[in-house]
Amino acid sequence: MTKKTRYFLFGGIAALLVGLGGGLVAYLAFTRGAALPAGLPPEIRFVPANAEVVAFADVHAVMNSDLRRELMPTIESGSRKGRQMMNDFGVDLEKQVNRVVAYVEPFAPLDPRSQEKPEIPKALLLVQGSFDQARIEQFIGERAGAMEEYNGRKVFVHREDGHEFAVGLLAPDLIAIGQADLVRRAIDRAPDAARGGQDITGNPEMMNVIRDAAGSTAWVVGRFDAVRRRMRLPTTVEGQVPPLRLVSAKANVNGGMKATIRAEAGDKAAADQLRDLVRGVISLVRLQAGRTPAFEGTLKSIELSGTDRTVQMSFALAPDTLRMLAPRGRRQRPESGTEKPSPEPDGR
Amino acid sequence: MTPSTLFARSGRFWNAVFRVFDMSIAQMMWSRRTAFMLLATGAPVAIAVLLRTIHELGMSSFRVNGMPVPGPIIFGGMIWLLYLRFTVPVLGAFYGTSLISDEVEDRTITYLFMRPVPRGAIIIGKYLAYLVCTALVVLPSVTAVYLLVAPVAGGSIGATFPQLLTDLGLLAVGLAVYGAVFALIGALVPRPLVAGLLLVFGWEQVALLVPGYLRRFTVAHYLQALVPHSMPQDDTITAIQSLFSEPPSALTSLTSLAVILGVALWLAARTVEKREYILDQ
Repeated sequence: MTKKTRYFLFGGIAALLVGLGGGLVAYLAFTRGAALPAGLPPEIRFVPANAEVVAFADVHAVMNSDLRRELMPTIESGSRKGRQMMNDFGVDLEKQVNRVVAYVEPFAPLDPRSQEKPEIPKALLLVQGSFDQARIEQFIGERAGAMEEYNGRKVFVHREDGHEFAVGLLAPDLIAIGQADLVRRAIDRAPDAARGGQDITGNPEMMNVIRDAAGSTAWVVGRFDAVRRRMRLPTTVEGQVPPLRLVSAKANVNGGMKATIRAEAGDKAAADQLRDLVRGVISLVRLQAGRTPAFEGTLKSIELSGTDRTVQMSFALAPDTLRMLAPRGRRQRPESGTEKPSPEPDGR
Repeated sequence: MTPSTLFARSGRFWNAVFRVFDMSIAQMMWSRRTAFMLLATGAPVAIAVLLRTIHELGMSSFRVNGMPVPGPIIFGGMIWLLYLRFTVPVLGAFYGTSLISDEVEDRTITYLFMRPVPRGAIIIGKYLAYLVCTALVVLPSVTAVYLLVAPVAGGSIGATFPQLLTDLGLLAVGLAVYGAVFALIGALVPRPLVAGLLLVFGWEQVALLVPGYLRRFTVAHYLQALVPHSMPQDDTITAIQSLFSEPPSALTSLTSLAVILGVALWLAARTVEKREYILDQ
């Protein structure tokens, strides 16, 4: 090999290494800045620090789970609405979506003294997957979404009854769907955005519970008052519930489902009170449903645990039980050998 | 055959491969084809410099429906249109088909065959020289384009760096597989460049458009399935292609490409071993 050839070869290798080295340094700086606890999706960076409810679902894992395959005929019709919503954005929920993160922001009325309630919850949905951006743009464009640029990202805004709804293309693999101001604020929190703003990782109280749920197929964490507001518990039940700060639910889905519900009380006394309440409810449920074979396994699997201020209840749900719990109109007849999905309530 | 004999034979074969590689790389690097290669890999870099300059001057470099397109999307488009669909197959065709046919046309193949080296080692050595030569020009060009284009219009190098590694890997695989296929064509066919270009711009394009199994007999089908960027919907042909496309999984693609590479190289080496090349007088 001549000297000239050798120089050419080493020149090529050096150019490649310099380029890769530069990229690697940028990548390390980026990931160090965005270091998250293991098992949490990177989209959590877009959730604001003051979010009162945060939820996550590993759609890809759920779609590929044995449970989904087994329950598919039962749940197929029920999930049509959500699938249709995704189709409206040009996204194939089954094939293109990997993860979904959603959050609810607290409602701040213009007059803090007023008892005004929000018409629509201030919620944002972050969908991560492999999307064809051109298709999404075309879909939204056709559905009368005015395109605008915000902080270098495309935002499609749809105005209706004085409300602004938007779809923001946060990254090539990430879209945000929700109220326009929330979409814009999510763009501000993008890792490369100049303005930034504190995300949920800067909220140690919420992160403590979120970290516990990390790695599960699906989870939801929220402030109890926000969850209670949304659940609209009957006044009699509400009076029985001791003061709680945070509640979370996580589920691991594969052949069946293993779920854990955790509550953080304000103090030890409240936690003890809640534990007694839950114990009572479990006994009552065992009396009521213990003879139903489908629930027998689930009731046996219930475990109540916790530390000083936390109360935790876990249980396992077999596919049969989940089939029983499916909405009555869409449930299949268990006695039939060849399982066929029951017709839609609306006749479709 | 005892293991020691096999080992000695294998050692002699690879020693011969290295000698041919050493001799061929200089020939290949300073041939007229290098000018074409530099043009094919330098043009994307020039485009990237232009885009970046326009961006740095405060103008939005690339807009669709009046909106600036982020750098990583532009880079993805360049990978598809400039490298994957043009540079890689064309370089494979130009260099791969010439590995043996150049020696036949120049009537120098006799001198190679007279050497005490296995004939198969000649094509393998030349193939490795092609691979090193093209990879060391194409991959730095892609890296330079990435570094120039990725930060444009809100893009980030740090966030998309893993995609660059995937791109480099798949382009290297593309060069290797196309090179092996064209080396086989070069060893089999009298006018291999025409056949090679027909394969790239004829067969591969048509087979990808036709619904059914035909696409499985193309390199592009497996290679395109590995691309981390979505296919640009730039024309009707691409739209039809994506309509019928059902991309194989990454594992299937890699396995298929490895099989094509192995079979094509083995057949090329076998053809050179067995075939009698008649030189024009």
